[in-house]
Amino acid sequence: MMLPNNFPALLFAVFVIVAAGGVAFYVIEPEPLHYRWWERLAYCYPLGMAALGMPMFLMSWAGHRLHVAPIVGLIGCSAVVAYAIRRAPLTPYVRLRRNAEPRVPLSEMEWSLVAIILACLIARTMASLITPMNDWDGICVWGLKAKVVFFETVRTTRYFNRNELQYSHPIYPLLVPFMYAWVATVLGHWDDVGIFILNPVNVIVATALLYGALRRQTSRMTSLAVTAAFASFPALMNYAECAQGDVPLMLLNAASLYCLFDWMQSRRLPSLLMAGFLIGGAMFTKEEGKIILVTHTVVIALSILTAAAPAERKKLFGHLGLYLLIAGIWILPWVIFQRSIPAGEDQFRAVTASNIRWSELPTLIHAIVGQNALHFYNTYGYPKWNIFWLMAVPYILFSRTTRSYPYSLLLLIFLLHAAAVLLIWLASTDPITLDMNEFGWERYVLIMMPPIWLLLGKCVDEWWAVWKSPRMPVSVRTTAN
Amino acid sequence: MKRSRTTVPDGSRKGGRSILRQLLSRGRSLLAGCLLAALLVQVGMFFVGLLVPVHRLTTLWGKSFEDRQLVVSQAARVLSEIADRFPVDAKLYLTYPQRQLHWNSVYFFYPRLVTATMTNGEYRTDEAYAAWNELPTEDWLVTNGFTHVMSYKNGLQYREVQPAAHSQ
Repeated sequence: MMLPNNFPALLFAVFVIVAAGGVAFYVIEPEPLHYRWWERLAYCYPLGMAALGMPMFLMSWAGHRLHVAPIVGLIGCSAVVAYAIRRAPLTPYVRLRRNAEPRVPLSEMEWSLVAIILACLIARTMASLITPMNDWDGICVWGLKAKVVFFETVRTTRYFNRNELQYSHPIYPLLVPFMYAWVATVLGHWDDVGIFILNPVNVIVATALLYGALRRQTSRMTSLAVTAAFASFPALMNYAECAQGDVPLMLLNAASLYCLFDWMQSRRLPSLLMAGFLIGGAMFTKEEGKIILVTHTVVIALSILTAAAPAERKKLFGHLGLYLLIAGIWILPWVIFQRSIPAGEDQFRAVTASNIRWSELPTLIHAIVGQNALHFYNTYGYPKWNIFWLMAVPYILFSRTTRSYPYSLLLLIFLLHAAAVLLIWLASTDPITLDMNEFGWERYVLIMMPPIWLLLGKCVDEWWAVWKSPRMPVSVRTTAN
Repeated sequence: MKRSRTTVPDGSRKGGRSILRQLLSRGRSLLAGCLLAALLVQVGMFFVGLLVPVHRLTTLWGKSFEDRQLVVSQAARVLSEIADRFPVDAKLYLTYPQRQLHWNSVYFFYPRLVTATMTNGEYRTDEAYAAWNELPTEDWLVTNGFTHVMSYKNGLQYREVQPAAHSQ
């Protein structure tokens, strides 16, 4: 019974997203062999979401409902135009192996880690394919928006003007709803289970991208160990089940960050352009995407000022300008539309000096540390981090890696992101108590974590080297004179 | 007087600085062991995360869509069933709304329109729902194109709007 009858159609919906990303990848990246074949494939998915989200929104804003033919046609036309302009051969983009890379067989330990990763991803995929819509965010926010853009259009619906529906946050961006609506469009009807084909794909792609990014920095064993910790994360398993915006945002944030990190080391412009395009998608996924853009921009500027030769800085600031331009262009239509949506009552206010309740800071920090580091389960009874923070904090504190470029900037990204979320909560009207909004904090932290995964990988590698290094002489004798 | 000295295999002797270096090295080695063991524990607890989807699989495997919906959310099943009784272009006015049921209804009835307000009022808090007082007249319902009135006050009751009553 269990594979849905419409499984081929579901796969086609995902394939179209990947194909759209493939065109974007072809346009942006002139050196495809910079990535392994499966990394190329994995990047195509978030690139495809970012590439399709905005044209779908524009189409809907113009009063047209989603249809398969125009979307596929648009991708086909874009591919033809891109090829006509770039004229770059396609072979390297689809080549499976980069060079004559030697194949080293996996050790028993590595096989075990691979088994853990696969078990988690397969279980998540199977469960997602049979679980109907059931969570609050899915029903009241993302699922409702997806139904709106599936059955109606942004232009014709009254959704954005009904105060009664303010609980669903009409001002929230629409990339996730458009993706679900796209799957339903391919199916030809609304399907409370079928649309969730995207959820396991988000997790699988995020896992592959993390492994790829780690593998550039660390040994295979370390990369697999950290990837296994990621893939088996209870919080991730939990939030990947239903219609939540957090895992897609985490994916887009991670993909963008890995490209950005590559640029910090190689200064390759295509990597930064790809990061810019992906961050445009992140901003169309959740409001928090804007925070990520700001933190990444600060870090790019710091990277140029602290680690680049003075003669190079002008060129690199040009890179930063292009990054912001691409991200800005890609989110601009939504920003314009968003300003026309009437604002309802919300607990979140502008972050101004007068709104920030500094006196609540100790309680807030106490709540965050307690809920994230010490509680194994949230208020709904879901397991969260296991011992992750108790493990990760000493790694970060004691490793030399943390104090070296560019890894110090990874930590800075995390800290800036966390500080921004703190400020938003301090400026909100919500009462701040020790058990406040635990459910929300967990999801915020999941989005913040991509830089921590990369940093942790390098730290583990450092300590692995210490562990493996030849011991100092064991016989330390005390002699008496 | 006793004095600590370190003897290394080649027989040379080193002073306190060397001992300190060796202790630091041993400390780093020990710390490395602890940190790597912590990672091993975290990875070894993979089953905690794995159990989340496995639990879903074991409770939903082999069941029909309706039964799976009933398992994950009773309200979802009940509302979906009621929604299916209405034509897709139905326009329902909801009286005596309760917060969660109202919000769930908006989703599960879509594309059928469900509203609980004549004044484009904002209902988000329990206080706002407690103060709800927007009972429409039959005239208003007909004029605004509503086809049904649904109430959550005494169970999930609904009735058709009567255009005849309006015309009389």
